[in-house]
Amino acid sequence: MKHFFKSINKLIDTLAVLAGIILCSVSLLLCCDAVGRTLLGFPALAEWGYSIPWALETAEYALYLMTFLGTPWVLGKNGHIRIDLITEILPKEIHARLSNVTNAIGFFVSGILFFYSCQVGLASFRDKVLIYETFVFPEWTLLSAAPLTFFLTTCIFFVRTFPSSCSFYDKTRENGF
Amino acid sequence: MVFSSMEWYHLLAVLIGSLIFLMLLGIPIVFAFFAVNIVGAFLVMGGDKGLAQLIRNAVDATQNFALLPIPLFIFMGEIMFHTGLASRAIEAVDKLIARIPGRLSLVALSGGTIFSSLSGSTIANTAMLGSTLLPEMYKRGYKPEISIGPIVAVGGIAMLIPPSALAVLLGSIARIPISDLLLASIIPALILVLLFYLYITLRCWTDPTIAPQYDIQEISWRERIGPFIIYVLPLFCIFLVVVGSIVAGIATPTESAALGVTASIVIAAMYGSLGFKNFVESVRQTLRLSVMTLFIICGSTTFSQILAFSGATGELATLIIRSDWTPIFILLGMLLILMALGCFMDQVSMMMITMPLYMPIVEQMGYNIVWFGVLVLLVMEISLATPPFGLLLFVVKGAAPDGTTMQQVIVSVLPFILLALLLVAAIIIVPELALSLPRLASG
Repeated sequence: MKHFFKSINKLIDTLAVLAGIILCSVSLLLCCDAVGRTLLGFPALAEWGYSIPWALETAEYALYLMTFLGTPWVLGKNGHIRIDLITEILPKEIHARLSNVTNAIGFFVSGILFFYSCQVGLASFRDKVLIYETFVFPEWTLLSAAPLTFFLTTCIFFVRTFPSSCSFYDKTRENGF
Repeated sequence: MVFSSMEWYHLLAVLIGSLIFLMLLGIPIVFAFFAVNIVGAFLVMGGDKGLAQLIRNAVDATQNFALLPIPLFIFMGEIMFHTGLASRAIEAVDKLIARIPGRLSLVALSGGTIFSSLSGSTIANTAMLGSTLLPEMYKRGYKPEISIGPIVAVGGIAMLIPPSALAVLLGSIARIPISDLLLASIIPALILVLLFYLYITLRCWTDPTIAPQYDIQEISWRERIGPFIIYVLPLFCIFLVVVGSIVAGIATPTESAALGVTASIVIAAMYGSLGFKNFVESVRQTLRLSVMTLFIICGSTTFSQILAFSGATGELATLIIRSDWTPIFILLGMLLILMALGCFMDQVSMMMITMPLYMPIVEQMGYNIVWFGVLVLLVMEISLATPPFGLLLFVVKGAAPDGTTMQQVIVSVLPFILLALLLVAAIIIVPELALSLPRLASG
């Protein structure tokens, strides 16, 4: 169990690094595309100019991947905003109990989303659905980011809902897990 | 389908009631949206199939080129912040307008107007300004009530001042002449800027404790203007890259945002402040803010799709239109619906759902569509910042330094909301405020 959660933590961090690389890459890609197209506009420089035909589509996929791959890390760092109007004024004990309830709801919501995202991905794999745009590739490869994300958010909410069963994992929890 | 046995207003009450309840429990906003989406998709979209569709909607919502300026503009802001460009520029402007009460709030208003006008995304701007300017204001001893409000309020100005991407989008969806709409927005935007400046100055003048006048050395004019030239003018190069590339037709707003990121990196490198550590920290913070914002949009877009699919939003509009109310009450009703929708939807979804219903009615009632367009732009922006659930409130809270509460955010934003509503009332009473410039232009 201990090794399992350590691996999960490493996976969350790795995906966050990937999301960061995607962010930098998409900035560079779009910048190059705009500059390339501009150069193409000047006849004298046309031979060096280069517009990237797949830039737009790639940027859209990149945005989706960045969002989904970065979400578990943001949740782990308590970065997803919540309304604290009421919870802030509650006594500590009730606040703690309420936190357990909200984490349990988060656990169930993430679990349901994980289950259905698996189903959607598997159905796409079974039906051999292809995406036909600039790139042609199996749809399930794109969809697979969703179950991965929701699996990891389910794990995070599990640890928060049942802290006693994961008491060995204090170090990770200090980091916001 | 379970929904077939439910009236639309029951469904609307269940969905919105559950959403509000879950949010108040303290569940992360995006998971509250997803919880309600699960119930909504099950009831409205046919059980298991609906839930599968919910996943597809959530995945599709983020694959949108128009959303890309959000992470890119946040990235631009984070680079400026972590490399010290922003704080040096703020200090330079601060020196220049050293004797005006609440100067940092005015800097936030001025900077925010420029930033948000460029990006066309008020969410991105709020997040960026919240992370760059708020820490500076807190450091200088500014109270939240005068520091958060201007950052959220500038979004309203941004939607009006050309080039406003949302104004162009509204024009195309509602078939309002875009050039007229852009021209019509200028005077209301200037009035709004003036009202905000007056409010901040008067508020800080009557209660100096909320924006303390920190130690200012007696310096010459040369010492005042020097830092402005060194630290602020180069930042205008970034703005020039962003605006110039759009105006010159070189780049789309998304590409111009990417050019802006590159320009900020180049300028930070020229100052010698772009280290690996600063760059990585900029990426980390950008990721934190943009993933949080985009995932909320993902949840709220799916929610709006469920509402549209059930017909609840349409029925709500029809109910008001079929009443015996006078045209002015119908107009107010339409604007009120927009205000309510802004609690859980982005502007694009609001436009998509309401405009096809609204425009035939507006034309039937004989209202000027350009004038109506300006009102819609203003009200949509107000709705995003309206307590208790306006999206911008959550975004600014997420970007604000630790310890900032939602109560502080709401108290700070309310006066600006009231001023914007005052402007809405003024435009309704005196349509010439919006229509004089387009009429002048058309001779």
